[in-house]
Order: sequence, then structure tokens, then C-alpha cells
Amino acid sequence: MTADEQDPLHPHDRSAEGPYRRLKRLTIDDLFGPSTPQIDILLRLDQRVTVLHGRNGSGKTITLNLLAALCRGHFEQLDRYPFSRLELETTDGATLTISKALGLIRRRAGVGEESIATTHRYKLSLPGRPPEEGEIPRVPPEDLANIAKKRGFQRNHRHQWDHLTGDRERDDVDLIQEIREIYGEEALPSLIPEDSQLASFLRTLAPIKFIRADRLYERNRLGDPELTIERLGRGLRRVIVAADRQYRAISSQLDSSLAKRLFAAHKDLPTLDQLRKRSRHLHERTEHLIEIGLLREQLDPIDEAALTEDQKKTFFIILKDREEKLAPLFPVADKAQRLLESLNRKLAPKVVRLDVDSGYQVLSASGAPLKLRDLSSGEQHELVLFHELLFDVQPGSLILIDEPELSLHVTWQVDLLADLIAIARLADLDIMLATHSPYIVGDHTDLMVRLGEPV
Amino acid sequence: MNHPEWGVPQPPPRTESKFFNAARRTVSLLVEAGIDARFWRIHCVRDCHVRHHDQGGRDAVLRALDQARGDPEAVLLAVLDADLDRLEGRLEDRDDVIWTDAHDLETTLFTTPALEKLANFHLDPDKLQAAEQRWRETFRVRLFRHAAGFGRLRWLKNRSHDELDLLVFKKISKRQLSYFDRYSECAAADWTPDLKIAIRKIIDYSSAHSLLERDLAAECEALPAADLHQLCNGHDLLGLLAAGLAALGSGNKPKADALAEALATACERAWLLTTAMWRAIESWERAHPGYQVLRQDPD
Repeated sequence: MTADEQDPLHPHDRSAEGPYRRLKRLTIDDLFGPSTPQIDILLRLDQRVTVLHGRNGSGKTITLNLLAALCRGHFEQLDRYPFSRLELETTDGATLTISKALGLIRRRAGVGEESIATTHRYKLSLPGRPPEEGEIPRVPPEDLANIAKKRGFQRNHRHQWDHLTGDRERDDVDLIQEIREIYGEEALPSLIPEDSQLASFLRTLAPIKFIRADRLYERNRLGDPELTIERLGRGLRRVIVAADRQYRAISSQLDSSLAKRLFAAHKDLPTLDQLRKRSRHLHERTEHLIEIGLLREQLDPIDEAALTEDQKKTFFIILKDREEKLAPLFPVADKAQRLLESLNRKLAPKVVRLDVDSGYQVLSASGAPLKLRDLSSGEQHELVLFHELLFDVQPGSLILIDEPELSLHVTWQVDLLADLIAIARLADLDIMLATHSPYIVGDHTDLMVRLGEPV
Repeated sequence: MNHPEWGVPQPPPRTESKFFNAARRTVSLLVEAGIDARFWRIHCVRDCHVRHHDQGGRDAVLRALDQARGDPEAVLLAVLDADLDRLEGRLEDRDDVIWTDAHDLETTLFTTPALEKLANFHLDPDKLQAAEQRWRETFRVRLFRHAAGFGRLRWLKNRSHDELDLLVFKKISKRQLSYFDRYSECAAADWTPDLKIAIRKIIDYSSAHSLLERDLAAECEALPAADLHQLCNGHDLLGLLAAGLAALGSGNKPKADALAEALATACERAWLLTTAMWRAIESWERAHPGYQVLRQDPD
């Protein structure tokens, strides 16, 4: 691809932040076979939140699964569902259409048998460029067999995969998914040519975060189940420790050069009023850091009211130092504030704080520490949901949430959508959720998209 | 879903109806009060979701209907009290509203033999028969004659006499001196209807002490003749029925609230089949194939 052929939304690495293509519309034909109703979801982008509803079995979770798989390039997941055509449309006018076709594939890894089976073809139309068409590539059977063997998987006589340590059977799709979950994307070969429009499209599509219905438990690298909340706690601890290290490193650096800077000449010092205002603001923010548990030491108070003109330079240097020292803690505090406000309002009399040692610290009404696993399932759902939204997503992401009402009392359900809309606007997110709860929707009927037909 | 007593605001009817209709064809039947909801739940199918707007009354129901108009996934129907609007010729003709046959649901139910059923349940039949012979009129006629006085006063108030806004017809709360019951005190000896006493009691229980009884009586007399079923209010009928049963020596002295519950359950389906509201619901069902409100005839 030449420079002038480049996509208007520049191709870049996933780790770089936007601009991303925002999903505008998703249509799926024949999701459950011929003559099933078309799924047509026009996202409520102006409101940032789209609510899918429908009876059980109408395809809400499958739609979220398919969307997540497609946006992440996990094309093997498409084999799971018998749709005939699937189309994504983004706000810049790009469309990606996937349709099923019959093709010759080698089904059994290591055996080399050929058989007629379903394949997926795509057609990608990017604005101002000729459409690109092709077949969605699959992991070659021999490669899959080699990858599986290295990780202790082998074919059994029913053409399923067993692992040496267990007797659970998996098909090819399960196997790929499991390898990806446990060993990461790098464990599988990259199938889409890097210079294709499809690769470029996928790189520039809004990152997906899928918060599943079974969000309280997940598998660790050993394949064992663990509480999500404990992993999140560890993740948060890493964030806090990193911020705390930065705070200490900057503090040490500034403290060692303080004497030199005190004797250096300073021009354009702020006025006394400006300094007092900045000092009061910093004092408030510092108190907040201590209150939520992010700062463990009390800083010596500065009496800005007694500040005189001849103390101005010294005061300014000390104030500026403190601002710089605390700067790494503020982004964490800003994100945590919304989470902790919401959690502490709901979990009262329990109190949730941040903690450098454990990530989250939960205290009982008497102040005794509680383990995260001792929180009720509703409390864990609330914490997991909002932690993921506030700490685990990058701006511009599309968030998929399956059944956010799980385990939540109706009073919490009533509050949920307003919180989600506020976070989506604040953090520049689009949210698509699937729910069975009219309490969550409340007055926001304009956000609702029905899937399926009534029986 | 039928439990607003959880203390959590119910989802708006439109939202709820869309959720229900995503699974099965479901009608949300909106009514004005809890007793109405309990009555309709007896006669409606499971897929008709009966909801009441206790605090907002008719206006809240109409607002909910307006919000759902034009949304094919929200299927709402309301059964509302005609109140005095039928007498005034002000009833709005809407395809999503069915008006009660009489003044309100309770009055409509009182037009059926449910009244006699209640009276016979609570009174010694001999005593009731003796009273009716003494009165030279039936219990039913006497009850409606009683309620007509209150009905005329309500009509006067409804016709926007500013000073009459002070008249209070609502039930006296339990915290106040509830033994002053205007319904039991409004009758002369032997539960004889007396409009003047009724007017005096209404004024006594209101802030409208400056109103002159004779002026109100004259204005009531000057109102046009009206069908008693359209004029009489269900709350008045229930209050007067409770007072009448007590006056005639009912042993258990039922309260008006208990009588309202009993009335709703005493009314038999066969008596309802001929009511206009019942036929209107059947007509609505025919116009909306697949959506069912009323239970099918068990026969």
C-alpha cells in the first residue's frame, strides 16, 4: 500500500489512541438459519448507549459475541453460528460484509482429509477506495496441530482436542479460543496480510471491550478459575504502585535539587492571590488522595493565609514541587473517584478505598478489613463492571455488556444507565448492552433495539 | 412485576410494554387505582399486564398513553373513570382508552347485582326486608339517593365554582379524628337521605366554612337532571354503604376499603358481559389480533 492509498483514518498500532472508526450499524441475516428475522442494530451514537432487548434466544449474547470476534479479528468464531450474511458499517461510511460460502477445506489437522465445508468471504468497502474482496483465512490444520501439541493438546478418536491434564473435549474453535485466552494473541499465527485493507480496517476499528455475563470468574494461565475481582484488584495495585513509584521518584529528584533551585533566580512569579488559590486547590486534592487511600503520608500543611511578599519565591517553589510530585497520582484518583463514589454510596456501611498494597481495600462498618471475595455477588458485579469501564478501556472503545442487571437489586438497576451514560460521555466510549430489565432502561426507550420477534 | 410496593419506581409503562412484547404479545392495561387493578387482574389473562397510576390518576395514564403512541412495540390500553365528563359531554374518544359505563369502576360494579350480594352477606335478610318495607324503597334505591347529594356537590365543584374548591371529599386520614365520618352522619334517622345534612357535613369536613348551606342546596337543585349512575361517585357509594350496613345492624361493621375489595370480587363475570366497557375491550381485541385482554369464557 502506497502512502497516497492510505486510509483516511491512519492505520496505526492498537496501542495508539484513536481516532477510531465508530461502529454505526450492524446487520445479521439468518442468524439462526433461513427465515429467522434479520438483526438490524443502528447504534444510538448521540446518546452513547444502545440497549438490546429481546426474549431469551433472540440472539442478544450471540450478537455481542459475533461483534467482539469480528472486531478483534477472531474469525474462527464465525463458524459457531449459521448466519448467512453479516455487515458492519462505520460512521465514516466503511462497510465490511461477511458472507458464508461453500468451499474446500481440510478439516482434520494432521490427517490431511479434504472436505466440503462452509467458508467465509468478505467484502470491504472503504471510502474513496476500490472494494477489497477475499476469503477469510483459517489457521492451517498442520499449524494448529503443531501449536496444540506444544501446549499439551492432542486429537482424540472423536476428532476433538483433549489436554494432557484434563478430560474436557474441545473442537477447533474452542481450542483456538482457549489458546488465545491463556497464551495470548501471539500464540497464534497472524492470518490477515498486514498490507491488506482488511488488516488496516481492523486496526482502525474502535477497540472492543466485552464484559460478559459470566464476568465474576475467569480462567488464569493455568486454566483454573479465579475471581475476576481479585485479578482486577491486582491490576489496580499495579497501577497504584506505578503511580506511587513515580510520585516517590519525582519527590526524591525534586528534594535533592531543592536547595539549588531556592537560590536560583525566578522571573514572573505568580501573584500572592494566585498562589493562595493554587495552594488551596492543591490542599483539597491532597486531602482527597488521602481520603481514598492513594496517598498514605500527610504532607506538611502550608499556611497560605499567612503568606507574605518576601516568602513568595520559596512558597512558589515548594508549591510547584508538590504539584509535580503528586501529578502521577491525580489521573488514578480521577478515575477512582467516580468508581468509589458510586460503590460507597451503594455498599454503605461498608467502605471501599484504594490501597497501595492490595489495590482495593474493603472495610466493614467497624473498620475491620474484608476480603474482596467476601463481597456479595451484586457488589462484585458492580465493582467489576465499573472497574472495567474506568480502568480497563481506552478512549474511543466500544463496550459490550451482557446482562448488566445480574445480581443487582432493582434500586441499583434504576441507577445503572445514568451512570453508564455519564461514563460513556466522560471517557468517550460507545456502549452496547443486552438486558432483560426494564428497570435499567427506565425512561430511555429511545435507546432500545429489539432483537427477534415475539412468540 | 405487579409489585409497586417494593418502594422502587416502576419502569414507565412504555418501557415495560416493549420488554414484554419482545417475548410475547402482551397488553399493558393501565387503570387509575389499586382497587381497579385488582379487579381487572381477576378478569384479564396472564399476558395482560395490569398497572395502576395511583398517584397520578387519569392525567398520568393519559401521559403514559401519549408517550407510547406511534411505538408499535408498546401496546397500551387504559380503562378510565368517566367521572362527570360523560354528563358534561367532554369524554375524549380515543382508541386506546375505554371509559367506565358509570361514573367510575365502583359505581359500574354497583349497577350489577353485586350490591345485593354484599348487602345480603352483611345483613340479616329479615332485617333488610323489614327496612325496605319501612322505607318503601329498596336498599339500592336508597343508597343511590344518598349518594346523589354528594354527586351533585361534586358536580358543582367540578363546574368550577372557585370557592367550592375548598370542599374536600377525600377520606379523612386515620391520624385525624376518623370517627367523624361524614357518611354515617349525613343521614337523618333510619338512614334517610337528606341533602341538607349531606351539604352541612361536607362543609364541616372542609375549609369552606364561609359557604352558605342554602345557597349550595339551591345550586344543587338547579343542576340538570342526571342519570344517577353517572352522577354517583364510587367512593361515596362505598362510604354510604358502610354507614348503611352499620345503621342496619351489620355485625362486623365493614369499612369502605374492605367493601371495595369485596365488591371487586363479588361481581360475577356473567354480569359484566353486557357492560359497554366489556364489549369495548372485546372490540379492541378484535382490532388488535394476537393481543388478548380478557379471559376467555370458561364454557
